[in-house]
Amino acid sequence: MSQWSRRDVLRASGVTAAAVPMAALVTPSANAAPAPTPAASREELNAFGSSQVMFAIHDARRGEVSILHGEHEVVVRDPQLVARIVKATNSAKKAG
Amino acid sequence: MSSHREAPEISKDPVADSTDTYAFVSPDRPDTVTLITNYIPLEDPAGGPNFFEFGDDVLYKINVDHTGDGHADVKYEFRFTTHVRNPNTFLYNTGPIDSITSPNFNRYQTYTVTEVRGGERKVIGRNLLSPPCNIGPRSTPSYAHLANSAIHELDGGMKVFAGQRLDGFYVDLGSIFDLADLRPFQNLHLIPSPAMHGVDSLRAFNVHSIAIQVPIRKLTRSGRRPTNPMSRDAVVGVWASALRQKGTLRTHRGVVQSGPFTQVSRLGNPLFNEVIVPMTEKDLWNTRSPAYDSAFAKYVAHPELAKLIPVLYPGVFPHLAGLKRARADLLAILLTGIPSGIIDGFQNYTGSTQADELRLNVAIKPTAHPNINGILGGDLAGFPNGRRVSDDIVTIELRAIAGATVPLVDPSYKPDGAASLVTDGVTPPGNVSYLSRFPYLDHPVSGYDVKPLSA
Repeated sequence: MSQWSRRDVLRASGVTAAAVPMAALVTPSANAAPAPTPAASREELNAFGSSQVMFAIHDARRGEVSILHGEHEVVVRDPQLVARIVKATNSAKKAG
Repeated sequence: MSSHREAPEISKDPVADSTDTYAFVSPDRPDTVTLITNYIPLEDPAGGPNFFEFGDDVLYKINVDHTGDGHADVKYEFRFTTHVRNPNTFLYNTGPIDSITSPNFNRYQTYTVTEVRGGERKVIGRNLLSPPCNIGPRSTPSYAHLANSAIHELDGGMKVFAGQRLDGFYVDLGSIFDLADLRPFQNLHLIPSPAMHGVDSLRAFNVHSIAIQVPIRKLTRSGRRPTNPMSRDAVVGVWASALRQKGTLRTHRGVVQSGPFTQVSRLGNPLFNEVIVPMTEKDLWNTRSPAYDSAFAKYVAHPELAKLIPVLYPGVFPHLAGLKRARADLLAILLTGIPSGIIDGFQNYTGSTQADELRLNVAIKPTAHPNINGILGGDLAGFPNGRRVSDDIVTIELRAIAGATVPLVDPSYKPDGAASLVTDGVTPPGNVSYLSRFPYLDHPVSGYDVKPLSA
């Protein structure tokens, strides 16, 4: 599996079709950590179009995200991103 | 069954559930091999209004290993696309379908065939039409004509067909899954009842078949058609596999899938996953490549069924009951092929790598008078030399597991008398029919014509 850059991951997660509400990731709530990286540019988002992306965290303690896109899968090690997703998930649980 | 609903997970995913795989030298075109893989177990022919079809989201593969390492060297991949002409009706057909391009054929499928050789991919068939399901005399009149017009000629002397067929496998499921009862011998069962003829549980069911006929030279390592059966180049290993994308998301706009294709079903030798692999490992087995089948060799060496048979038929199989050593005969038949020196004029050995593949010696010429018991019946062109559509797999494998093939590797072993007689009592003709030419599996029974099993 090829490795994606952190920028690639964030760009992907900006339009992802994952089960976690993505607004919870890009709009920090009271419980979520602030976003540590700049958002993807408009050009990057346009280039990505309406592509569907899914991701899975099999074990949050490993700090890895498995990203499914098209017919590919990449595993990105990014403990900060995983922490944000975990916080967003927890906040979604509380909200739900 | 051969591999119908053979594992817990795949039994819930019929369009990806391979039921049988066949590989044989084409009897009417002996310079070619016919490869067939079937899907969708137990199609009730009357199952409308949404009749059966291949999965648009499934990647179907027929794999050929000519190096003996358990990995595919040549692959034929099939991808389907469903089309709907009139989205405002619930009807599968809006009138009689008199040709496969009929505007009345409202929901139809086309498919693409890709040949993968090493790392090179080549589309060898595009926008090929599948025939409709056989519905009845009003909807699909002249069904044979319809189906035959969906046999497509490809470049290089190849043919392909993908569509509904009568299930060519025959077996008495009702008795076998009732504590391994065999009706002709049930008077000898631990829970006895009077002996009777077997009942073909599949005689009123269809499947969906993918069949491709390929020149032998396109499948061998040398790129030639071998004539010497003892040549290593004469043997190819075959299995089918079905793959789905890893990720599935259900939304109000439909199902979204993403990620790489991952294997969910495979089938080489009939009944391998069904009766050799224990229940808790069947799903795992379906995801693995044959190259790693050594992990399952212990189940072949000491098959559960060989222990059950003497218990369920007390006093009938005393020699089998006493056979404790590893079954080298079954390990050869199912996992490595039969080496030379065991059967006069025959071998289908692919090397020491243990892999569940149908091993076909393409230099063995087809016979005009096949014996449905294959090599056990003295016919070197039949199972386990590949597998023909009419081979009596249940009887052959029952007899092999009961000890009939042990003397191939251990001449001192004397099989029980019953080992060469045991059968489920279901044999063609009368139960199932076949075609004498491609795709060899017969036209499906129609929903209108099908009769309940008891009729």
